[in-house]
Amino acid sequence: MSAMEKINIVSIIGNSICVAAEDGQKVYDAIYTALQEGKNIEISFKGIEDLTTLFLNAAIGQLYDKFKDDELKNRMFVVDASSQDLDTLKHSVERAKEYFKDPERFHSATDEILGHDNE
Amino acid sequence: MTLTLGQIKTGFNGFQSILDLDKQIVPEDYEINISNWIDANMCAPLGAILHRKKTKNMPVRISNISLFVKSILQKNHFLSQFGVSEKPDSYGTTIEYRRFETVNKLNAYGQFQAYVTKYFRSRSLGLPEMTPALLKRFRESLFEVFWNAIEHSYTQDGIFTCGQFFPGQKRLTFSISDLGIGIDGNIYRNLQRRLPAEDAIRWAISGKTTRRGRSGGLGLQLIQEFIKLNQGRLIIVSSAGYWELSKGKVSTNTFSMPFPGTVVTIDIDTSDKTSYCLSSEIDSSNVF
Repeated sequence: MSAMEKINIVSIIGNSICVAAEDGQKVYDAIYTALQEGKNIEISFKGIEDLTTLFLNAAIGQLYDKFKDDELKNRMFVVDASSQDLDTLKHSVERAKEYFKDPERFHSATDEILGHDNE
Repeated sequence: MTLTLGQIKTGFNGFQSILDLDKQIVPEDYEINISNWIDANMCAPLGAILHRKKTKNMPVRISNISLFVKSILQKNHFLSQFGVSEKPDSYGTTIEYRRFETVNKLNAYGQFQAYVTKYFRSRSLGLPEMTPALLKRFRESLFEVFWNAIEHSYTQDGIFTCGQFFPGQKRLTFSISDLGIGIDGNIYRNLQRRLPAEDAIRWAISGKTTRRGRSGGLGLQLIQEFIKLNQGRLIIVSSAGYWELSKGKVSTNTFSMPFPGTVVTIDIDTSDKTSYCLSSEIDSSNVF
């Protein structure tokens, strides 16, 4: 059985306001290193006051470019997250999965993306 | 010469008044008459325009300001840049007008965090009664918008912010303005595609991103969902485009001359008790 590494987001960035991509990158580096070392990871959201998708896209979203969806699902676990933060995380994760399947779709500026505002 | 600033309420006509002023100020000695009403949050785009004039050696002076408006603009420090003294805000309903220098992005972000913490924590003076969930979503929305301005506007002139609590109406309104290349300019710069300004705003709202190598584009999309749940208002002005979501309905418009940057205004109903979890129940063991 693989070793479990505990990663506390607030401890890594030294701030309860988890909103800047630069801070998210620090969390990404810690998670990436542990995964590369074959460890499973428990990510603690304890103490987070504010959380943005910008932060999570950097901290966690980028992992979907390096690892398969199933591998991340089997090796990463979330603890101590409020329902609001889980909601933000879920959005960021779903977006990352979609994005890394076909990045160009999210950069396209073709007319088909200019959908209907009220839909 | 004296120019009279038209009434500036948060909306298309208010922005049009600011753009009319922008057009009229040319290199001469000008005074601006602010005898008409101005919504305090609109100090952000107005301050941005006046700052731009100053950097182009077109400084303006303020004259004939009505006492009531003067009092608010002294309390939120907008008039300090014109040498008018500040006034204490004993009720704490004004949210200070600020210009954030963006030469060092992380410094700007640190200063903005401190500013948000000062005005939007549950114990902040003057803050209307709000659920913790609403206040948290509001703060997170401000961070998303501010960082978007830093990352995507390429502004050299800073980011301007201002807001106001309206305890009687149970509303909180806040504007963030930059003097950057606009959303249309960002799309052209990064994707080499020219879109009309209004379509460029819709492009950004639809969850697209110009940033490569990392998923993005969620910020404005989630803010839009949040504002729909709150039955509030989200207004985006970028270049000549105007996009407004109000009580769940979207309307758009085009200015005859462009705003030199982007302004995002968030206006929320502070009495709303929605939980603000945008997805249905999430199992933490199944989030990845």
